[in-house]
Amino acid sequence: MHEGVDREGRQLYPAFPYDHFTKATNEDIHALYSFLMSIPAIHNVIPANQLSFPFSFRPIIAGWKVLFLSQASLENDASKSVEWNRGRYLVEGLGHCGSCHTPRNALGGEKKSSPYAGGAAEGWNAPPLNASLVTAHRWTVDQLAEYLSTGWHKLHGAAAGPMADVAKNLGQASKDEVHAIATYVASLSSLPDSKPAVIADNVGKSQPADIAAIYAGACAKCHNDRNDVGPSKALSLSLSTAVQQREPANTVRVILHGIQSYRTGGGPYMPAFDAILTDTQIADITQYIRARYTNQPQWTDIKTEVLKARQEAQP
Amino acid sequence: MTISLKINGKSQDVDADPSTPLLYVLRNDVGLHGPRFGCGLGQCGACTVHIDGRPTFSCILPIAAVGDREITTLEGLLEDGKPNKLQQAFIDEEAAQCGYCISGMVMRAQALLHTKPNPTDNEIRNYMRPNLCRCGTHTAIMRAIKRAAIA
Repeated sequence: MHEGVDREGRQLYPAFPYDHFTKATNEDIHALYSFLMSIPAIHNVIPANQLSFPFSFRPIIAGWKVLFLSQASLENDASKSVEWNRGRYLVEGLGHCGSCHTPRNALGGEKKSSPYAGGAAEGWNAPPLNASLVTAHRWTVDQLAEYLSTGWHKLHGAAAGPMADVAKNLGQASKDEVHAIATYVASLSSLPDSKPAVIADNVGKSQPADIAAIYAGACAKCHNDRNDVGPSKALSLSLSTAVQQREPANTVRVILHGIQSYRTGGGPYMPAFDAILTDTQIADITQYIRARYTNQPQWTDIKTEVLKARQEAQP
Repeated sequence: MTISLKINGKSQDVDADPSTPLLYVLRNDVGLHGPRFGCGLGQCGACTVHIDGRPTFSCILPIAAVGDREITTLEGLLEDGKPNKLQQAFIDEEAAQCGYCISGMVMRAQALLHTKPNPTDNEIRNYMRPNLCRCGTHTAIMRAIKRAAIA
């Protein structure tokens, strides 16, 4: 957990995020170990390493670590609150939020010069957590805490893709710990409290009539713009964080695969449109939503993104 | 606006707003009552039909989006006017309580059997997940699908 080396002394690939776990205290690592060892063992055959040379040669990871592994522990920042310091410890360490939300360089190391500027996870965009994030409403600490523990906020939308699992897990964490995480994450963007909301609905802008009809019949029954989220907890898309992102990756994947992670818990739900709409229709609807509900530049190559998303394995 | 749809092998012109859900057109204009209105939000599956063989919620499919894709409803599964193997298996297993979800269940199960004639229990459970039954008829539905798979 601290050094990225296994019992037999072999170097571990940083797909296991020891570059973050190294910030966890010895006490916490010991507690995790005790818990994991309390779970009955199962028989498991470890899949063979399929990387090609030279990446299949584990000792080269030692070189990677010289470049990208900093084992220095986090010093308490006395100028900040106890809660902020706790949040930073959880986010930078065991939470390893930067593994997805910080961009990576060509060697797979996190770009320390642009922390939390937005990254990628399993085909999805991990949006920036710093001030470069574009949203209709700015995130407050309480909103973040609610989103992280329930997977949804009425002014921002639903956690989807890999973030859905994060929210599902944080739903079991204590409220205080989640609030500490929210306190630290909100401080990364340091936006003024008074930042006004930007709610776009460019309904008058010329749109292809057939796409507008498809939007009305397929989407607008739930995304109805009346702030009435209904049983599916569907927001007006002018509020959706996904629709505001630099890339269409998340919007395309939500339309294709829907949101079903919370079905048993009564959280947000969206049907998958992969069989309902054609690839071209999904691309057109994505562009329609972008044009109508944001003031951001049009996305390019959406169709390519749809085809790519269709190839990805679904959990 | 007149839109041409291919329904159960026949071409049919319907006069409706292009944003109208296919379900409404099938029931109200074409007179096919196999697909049911359950939630209207793509949550329950009672409205399931096949679009080019894939199970699809017809309540959130606007007719403008259908294009020249083939629509198959519960009625379209009949063979010489009689229930097909899967439909008969539902009857034989008495796989219905209130019956409201069953037409959607049959449509989804048929799509599964088309691609996988002999699915495992787990494959059936996973595939049927989008369709809800509130009476708890799941074990009978399971038996019916397995009966049709083996038969």
